[in-house]
Amino acid sequence: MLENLEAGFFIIMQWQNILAIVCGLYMGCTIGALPGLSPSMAIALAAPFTFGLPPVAAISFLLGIYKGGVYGGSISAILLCTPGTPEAAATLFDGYPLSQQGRARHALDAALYASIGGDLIGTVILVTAAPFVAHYALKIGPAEMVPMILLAMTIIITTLGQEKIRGFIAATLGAIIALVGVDPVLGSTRLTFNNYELSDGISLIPFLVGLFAIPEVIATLINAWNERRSGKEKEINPIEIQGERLKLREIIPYTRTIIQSALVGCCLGALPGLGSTAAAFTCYGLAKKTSKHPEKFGKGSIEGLLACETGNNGTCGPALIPLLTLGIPGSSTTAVLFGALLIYGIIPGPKIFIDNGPMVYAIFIGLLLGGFLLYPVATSIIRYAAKGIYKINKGILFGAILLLCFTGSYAIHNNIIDVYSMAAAGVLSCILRYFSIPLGPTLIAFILEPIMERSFRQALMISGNQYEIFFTSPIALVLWGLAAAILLWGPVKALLVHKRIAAS
Amino acid sequence: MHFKTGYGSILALSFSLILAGTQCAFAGYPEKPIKVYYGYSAGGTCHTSLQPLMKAFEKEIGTPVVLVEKKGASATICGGAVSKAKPDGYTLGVIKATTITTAPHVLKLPYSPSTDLTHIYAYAGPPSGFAVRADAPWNSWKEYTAYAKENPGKVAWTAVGTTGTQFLVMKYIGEQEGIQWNGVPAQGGSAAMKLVLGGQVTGYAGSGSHIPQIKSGNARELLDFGDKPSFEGVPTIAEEGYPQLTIHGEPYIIVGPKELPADIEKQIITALEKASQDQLYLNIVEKLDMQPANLSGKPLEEMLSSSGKLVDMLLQSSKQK
Repeated sequence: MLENLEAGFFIIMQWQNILAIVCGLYMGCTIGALPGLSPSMAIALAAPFTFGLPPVAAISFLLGIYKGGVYGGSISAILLCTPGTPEAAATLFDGYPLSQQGRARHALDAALYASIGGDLIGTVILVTAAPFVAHYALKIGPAEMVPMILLAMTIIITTLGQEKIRGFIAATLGAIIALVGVDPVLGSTRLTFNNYELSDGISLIPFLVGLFAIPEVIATLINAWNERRSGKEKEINPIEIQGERLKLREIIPYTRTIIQSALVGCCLGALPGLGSTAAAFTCYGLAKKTSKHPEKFGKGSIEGLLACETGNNGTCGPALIPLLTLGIPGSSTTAVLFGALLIYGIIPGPKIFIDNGPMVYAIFIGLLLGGFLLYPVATSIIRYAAKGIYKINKGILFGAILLLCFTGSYAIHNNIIDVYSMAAAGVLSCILRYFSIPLGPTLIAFILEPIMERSFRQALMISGNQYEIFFTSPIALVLWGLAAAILLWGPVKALLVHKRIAAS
Repeated sequence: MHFKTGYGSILALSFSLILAGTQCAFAGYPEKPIKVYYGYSAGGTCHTSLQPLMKAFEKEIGTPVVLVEKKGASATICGGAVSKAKPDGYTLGVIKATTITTAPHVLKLPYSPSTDLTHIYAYAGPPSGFAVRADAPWNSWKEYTAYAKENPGKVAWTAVGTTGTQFLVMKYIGEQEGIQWNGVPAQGGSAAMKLVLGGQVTGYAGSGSHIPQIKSGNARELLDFGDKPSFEGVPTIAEEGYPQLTIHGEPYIIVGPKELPADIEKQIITALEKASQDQLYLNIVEKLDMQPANLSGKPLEEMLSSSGKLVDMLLQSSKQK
């Protein structure tokens, strides 16, 4: 391993490769920040242009886009209340309140530190424990996935606070919308109203854009219109609004949250199929559950922001584990990377460390390097982004965002049905907002329902309709136990407190 | 000129228009860039193999080619877009044989992929076969089926989607042999292979994704569904007694709108025949473990009709149960 590490170090430490990473990070951050344009799209878009480059430079460039993209989504979530990527949807819960309080720079810095922290921990796990993690990731089959998702949901429920009924309505709506498409087992279409273009279901990104961006854009435009009419246009000092920078020592009290979120992110990231959005929401819920100040969550808590950003970036490194060691891509982004690796003659699988040892370690070192380089790249972007966004006329800015919502939704698959679903999601979202129904549960249910349904039905098909399959493997039992413990902890604690009061 | 997004294609179009403007104008087809819709996600097998093919095709036909993703609904959205285009040879599409044979049975389509499209050229497609984990106890297809027969309801295998040809073939064999086994639909080749490697199911009736796993030593092939096996020593489905179930490849097919003029079609076919001998393209096809088909005209229609008959038969038998 050490020889390979050394050889890999010399391969990556060439200025061309470093430049490739930096360019990738810039491109990723920018595309990630634009609502509707996602990192996986950026990678697919850029891959053909890298065919002329040497393999290491090309792959570092693509990995740079991947990392930059996952971080970039948080910039627009914090500044514009419009998540640039699905992962950043949880970031907005605390990020946007912070920026409204005039602490935008605080939030942006926190997201950056958290991203780098989560990213580095994830990469270290990728480098040191890949075969071990891969072994366990394989053991998680459909029967284990069901308690795993239930466990994640018991944690995510805490983010709802007192809004349990509204949250339940929101989640049900999300799950119903996720049902549109082809039944995964019978192969028949459902809820498509005989429109064959809907048979693939509603795409995630148009749905996300419609859900979060459209109502925000409409609200801002109406406010800006009213302000202009009443002549009360405020002169804003951009520096004042932007707020002070976050000092590194201010996040030291939250070290535990960061490490906890990074580990959860890594565990969920290594499982093919679950994805970083679920990781971000789970980390946010867990942080709220274990925090000393859960009441601040959702109102601009640095801790909550750190948790979800660490969590979603923590998935980046481990998401490559099943890809590299088993040849199984777990997400659309890693699937595109898989195609690129094949073109360069690197066949992911157990033999990758033997056949392409130095190359793989060069990629690993490139990933670590990318984590550190994200700092200068991102600070150079947010310095101008935060300033610029407050200087631009709101009507023009949000008008441009509205335009981007439409063109971005179309650009994903060049499919007009995506634009219609985006607009429909926007209308739905405005209605939900009117009844103050939270949007987070709608999104997370939309993402988790298909995985849950497929796993549940697959497990039953494997066992021939025997429900015991959910309780046979030790991993599943541990997950059930954890879920039950978290669910029962609240009532039990209340009961104990009640008894103590009664006794005294 | 290969872009994925709408922006990309607009950019590419404008560039290619400038390019086309600078070249001296030829009489007749092609006078302007050709737009090619592909019905699968960018970065996937279809897109990755299409890129070098179209690069070579560009040189042969003498005009830029713009690739546009039109993914969804088993490529029927792509087929629909092409069927609505003007039959002038400037709009083509890439779909799969199953878009023509299987999709109309599953989805209610406003057009017919078999009659509303001109099937121009089938270039290459993934091979299909049945793979098990490398350390599985069965050394042959016969041993596997014998084991499944002795343990009714205990053996589970996976394939992509319940209407995929591989899934239907496995189900049909089970019914014919009187084997009670559980077919588990997976969401894609990678997800199916994960179920096999994780030991949740015994095998994968694969359509491509099993090949790299076999090459890297994770899996073994017990049976090949095609007419020539991808690996030496593996019996074909005909050799195991089911010649009627042979899957004659499921290649990607380049299609045009209905009533495409015959001379334009011929020009495209000639260019594609030459392009499919391009070294870069052949290398990538080999790396992706695809089997070149290179069919056009009558042989292509024959292949489609025999595949169509197989799918009709399988779907009918699965509906009766």
